[in-house]
Amino acid sequence: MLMNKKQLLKLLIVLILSASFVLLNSIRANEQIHEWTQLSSEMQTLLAKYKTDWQQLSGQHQQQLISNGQRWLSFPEERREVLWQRFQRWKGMSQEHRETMQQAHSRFIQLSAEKRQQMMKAYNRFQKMSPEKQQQMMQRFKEFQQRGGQMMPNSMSNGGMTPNDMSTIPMSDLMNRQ
Amino acid sequence: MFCSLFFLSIDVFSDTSKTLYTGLTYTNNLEVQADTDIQGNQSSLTREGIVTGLSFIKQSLDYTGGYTFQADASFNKGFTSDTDISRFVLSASTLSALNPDWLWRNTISLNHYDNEALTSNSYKGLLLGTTFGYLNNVGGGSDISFSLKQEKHDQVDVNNEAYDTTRSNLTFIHYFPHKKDAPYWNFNTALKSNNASDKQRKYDSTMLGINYKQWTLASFDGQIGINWQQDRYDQTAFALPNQMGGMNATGKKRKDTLYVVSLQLGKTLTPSIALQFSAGFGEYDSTSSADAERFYRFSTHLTWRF
Repeated sequence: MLMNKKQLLKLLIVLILSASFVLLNSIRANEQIHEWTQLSSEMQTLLAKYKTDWQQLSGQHQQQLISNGQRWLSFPEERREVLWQRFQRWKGMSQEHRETMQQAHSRFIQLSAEKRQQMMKAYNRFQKMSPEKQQQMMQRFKEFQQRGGQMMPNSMSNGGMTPNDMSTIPMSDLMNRQ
Repeated sequence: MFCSLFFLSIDVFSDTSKTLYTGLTYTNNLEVQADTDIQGNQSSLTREGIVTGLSFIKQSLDYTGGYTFQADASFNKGFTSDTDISRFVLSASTLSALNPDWLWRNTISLNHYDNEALTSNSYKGLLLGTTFGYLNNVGGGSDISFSLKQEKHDQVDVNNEAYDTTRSNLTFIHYFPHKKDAPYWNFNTALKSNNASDKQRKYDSTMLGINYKQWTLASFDGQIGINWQQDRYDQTAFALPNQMGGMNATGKKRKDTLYVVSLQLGKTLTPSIALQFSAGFGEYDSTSSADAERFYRFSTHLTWRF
């Protein structure tokens, strides 16, 4: 006998495992084909385009995107939700607003580590604040400035146009001589 | 990536504005156009002038605070000789929040003021100030401010010597509740101290005032107010002239009282041009003068924001 029983058993196991793997892959492929056929033609076109785009990327770029994707998947669900909302807000901003944001970002990365940490502390303090709350907070700052006569209002008709000059300001400011 | 997303979450209000303004000013009492002290006894000095100035403001705010930088320079050319007034102010403020209800502003300001007719009022100054502001949810609140201002009056004339002074100012302003952009009242009171090296200029003050702001009349925005101030001097009052041509000492410490009613109207002509009119009427009474002085002043000017 060229093969004893033990060897025959090993060969059988390998054959069964290989057959199972092929079968599972085939089922999976069939499922994917089924899912694919369920998609709308627009979606199929879009995905085909993504695939082409992906194939045109350099290996390094593909690796970077995979790494980013893995990082994204490592975030907890809540964090992903917050980041996604911020991304949606970014998409909804005007070009000018985006540029202001980018300038703020550029300024931030140029700051010293200590200053960045201070800013992060400030950020963490307000981290739980919703965008609506942030808007309200900014509005409060504007109100504080405006009532103290410290701010040029957006509207010209808001009474804040008067330059801080004794020869032109109203008489009441005489009383505020410091 | 995180930093980008960090900043995506912050709204930033950023504004830079330059304003050119020009207008006419008139007063029946030159003293009320002085930047510092009203000394009285000069009520015959009327003054007319044309003022031109340039103002620059840069401000940036997000929900954690921000800063404001302001520069303002003006020149008021008097219609008669030696009555020009020039002024330059450079100031910077930072803003932060102690919590959502209490905000905090710190200010530093450099001042240069030059008055040809009242040279003892001309000065160079440095101001440091801090303000705590409480904002409630119905448009009201209060501001509590404290400031120190060091002034160097280095121009000497026949009646006055050079002197330095430190002015301290504790102010409380209460804003009554109102809807956004609706008219509102505010009440203010202050305790001030003017600690001058010239003893005759050393005094403490109390101030009270009430103002009605942000109202509209026809197409004008307006504000009106009445303010009262009393200055209590360290030194006895100046002597009063007697019928023999000599002087009688009053024997009492000098006490000055000033009240002013003021009105301001503004109208937007185009998105960048506005017209503004202001008027003030008041009375100044001092134990160092025989009679109270009534005064009034008007100014009107155009501002162009660009």
